[in-house]
Amino acid sequence: MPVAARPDALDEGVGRLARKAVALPHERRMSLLWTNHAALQEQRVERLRAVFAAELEAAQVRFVQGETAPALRVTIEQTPTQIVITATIPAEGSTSVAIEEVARAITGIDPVSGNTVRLEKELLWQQEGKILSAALLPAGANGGKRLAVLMEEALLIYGGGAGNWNLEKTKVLPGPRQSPRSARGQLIVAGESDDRVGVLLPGRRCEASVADESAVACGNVTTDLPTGRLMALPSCGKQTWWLKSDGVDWTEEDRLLLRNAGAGRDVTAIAELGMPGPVISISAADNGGSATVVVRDLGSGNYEVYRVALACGD
Amino acid sequence: MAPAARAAARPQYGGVLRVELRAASANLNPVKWKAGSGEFAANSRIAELLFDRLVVLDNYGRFQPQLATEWSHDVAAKRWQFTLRQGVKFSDGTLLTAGEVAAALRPLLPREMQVAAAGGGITIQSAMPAVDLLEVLALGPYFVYKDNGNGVLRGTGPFVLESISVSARDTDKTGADGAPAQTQRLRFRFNENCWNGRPYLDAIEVTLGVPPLKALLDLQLGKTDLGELSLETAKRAQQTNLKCWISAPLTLYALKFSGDGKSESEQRLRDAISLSVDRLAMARVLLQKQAEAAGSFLPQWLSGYAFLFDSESNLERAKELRKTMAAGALGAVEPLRIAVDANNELSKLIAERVVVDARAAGLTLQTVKGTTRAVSESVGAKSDGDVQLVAWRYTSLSPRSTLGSLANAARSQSAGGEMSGDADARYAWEKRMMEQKNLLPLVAVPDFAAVDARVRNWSPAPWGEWRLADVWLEQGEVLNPTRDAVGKASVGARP
Repeated sequence: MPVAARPDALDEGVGRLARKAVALPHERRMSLLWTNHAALQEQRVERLRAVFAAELEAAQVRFVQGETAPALRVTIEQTPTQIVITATIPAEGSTSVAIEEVARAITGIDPVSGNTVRLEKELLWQQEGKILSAALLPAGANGGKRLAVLMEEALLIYGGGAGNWNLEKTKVLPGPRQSPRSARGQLIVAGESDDRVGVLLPGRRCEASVADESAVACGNVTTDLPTGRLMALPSCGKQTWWLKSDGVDWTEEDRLLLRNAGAGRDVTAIAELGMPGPVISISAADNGGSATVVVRDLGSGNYEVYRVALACGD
Repeated sequence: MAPAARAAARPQYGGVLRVELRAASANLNPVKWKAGSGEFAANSRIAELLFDRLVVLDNYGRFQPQLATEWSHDVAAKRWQFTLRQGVKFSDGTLLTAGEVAAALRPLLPREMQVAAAGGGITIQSAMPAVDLLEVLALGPYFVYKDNGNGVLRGTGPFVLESISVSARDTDKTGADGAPAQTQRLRFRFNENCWNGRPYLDAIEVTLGVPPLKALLDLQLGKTDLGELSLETAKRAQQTNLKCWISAPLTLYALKFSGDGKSESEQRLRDAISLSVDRLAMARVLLQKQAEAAGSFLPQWLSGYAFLFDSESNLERAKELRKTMAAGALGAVEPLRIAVDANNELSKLIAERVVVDARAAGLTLQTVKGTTRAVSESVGAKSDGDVQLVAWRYTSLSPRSTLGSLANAARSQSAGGEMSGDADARYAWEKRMMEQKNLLPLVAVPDFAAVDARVRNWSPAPWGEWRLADVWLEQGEVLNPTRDAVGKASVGARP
């Protein structure tokens, strides 16, 4: 007996929560911190925030930006059956809590038939030598896949395919050598048909062509190395996700976590994948639904390159 | 090529799914299941094959009809009416009646609920508002079955129990792990009378009493299709290309104190222990990021507000409390004994960590050999120590029902009378229960399993249902993913 969705049910729930908050002891001047851990679109979250803020402002509460004002925190969570909206309301050094629940079934936030997103991994390459980053490149002119492997002194381009990679080019990185202990780097692939690969090194950005024998050109630039990859796959819907590692220590095995784009680090991952060691880098792969991940296998000590791909449904 | 690939992706009928479970034995009678007990999971997973519920919950928060096709309740949510599906037959070919549904649910429902057959349906009358009745019915023991009087329970589910056999366990390297010397094997064949249609599988063979390490080896060798794993073996499985499953955190590990906790010194000791335990490190390091630090009784996935409870340690505050304890107090010089099941490695690990953390605060705790019990089983039982490390299995989708069962088991009756379905009241109730510190939550650990690549359409629920009725087996030759991964690794090295 399916329940009819009521799109305004969440707005009503947030309205009730706001009225509860007003009824509890509260400051007159607060900052509003809003966190969404449920599968709600950002636009909808913004609308709910506006509903909540309007109710409180009507009760003479003034919301301000900045850290000096005590924070009224609203958190939206999802359980198997409910959307749970929690407000922690500051009042003269203490806090009160108000909670509202709205049945997920009536909010209409879940797709009628959804695909379960998961992560799958495939080992592409392993070696003893340190790999800073790797990227599976789109097919070249001859149709075969190419794998770019960034090491401390050179960028290596392999061609062929899984299980049969052949070294095609070695591109020496110009300029000062990095200290082996702290060597870092990241490959950046601009587009699916582009033969150019960007190499981010501490304080430098280099460009290399994988189609010819030209030298790698570098310039000074200060850019943070990316820590994850934004992924999307048409068969998984229009949603985009961040693929990141949960690792903080290079002596532990990491997990790759997939989270909705825009969600914070404390949001529950919608999919995860255990890796055999610390994740060294996450870079582009042959399409938007995949990533190339470098891991140091703690069992063997080898550096391994995996293709990690989104998969949906069965 | 394309048509062949499409055909292969379609469900195929036939085949026998081989399942290995850790539990040594199974009891298929839901009346005998104890709330919160570890055996609940295996019993329930097997019962899912035989029996149906009135409703089930899908992954999108919607209750889906099973034996009930419609339901409604009065304004107070005290009187619920369920219309039953017509023409449903038990596996013995007899028609399901409303009287049999009522008879099955009567001993399972809480005392304050009365169930009665009414025309083509049943009525459940509750003394208290039961806004969460569908959550209650959609999980746990609330299966519909018929007892023919000979102890054999008949269901309307997708499979029928065909045979039970007992055999000596294989003697191999995994033998010295405290597992039973015998394994029980249950064989289920498809139910041709199932109202929901014949399942894809011809049969399911469930082997009980299989230690996780053996289950992993059997998966890798292609000897089984679905195996229940432990935290350690799941980590190993994840490093292969086996398809792994990790549930929401379903088992809460907690310290249960034997005393009534009414004296000030006892409360101080409990506060000091609670503050000394580094739950985050326990979940992250000891349990390798696979568990959730538990600062509350209900996990985040079930309540949605567990983050409001503080699970962080405060060693300085614990030390201050320790200083205020009398020299002769239990836990000061004389050790407080934590009873731990010597056969349960996870319990031992957790208890040892508690002892180490408490020592950092100047407290003296000591593990002693005991039995890891479910919280419910430990009530009234003679205690092996001053504290027991207990395990609680979450077996309901209703936070109210779960909290109520847990409070009863932990003797927290004074948490404040009947709990309403309102989330604010539930939070306040749980907070009071936490303050009593009869039970100190530590960590919540998920279930682990892995499947062979030829198992298709397996979509278990995060709350632990395995849903094997929709599974089908790829009949063609499929490379064993683990062996395949090994092959790739070797050819991938240095061209």
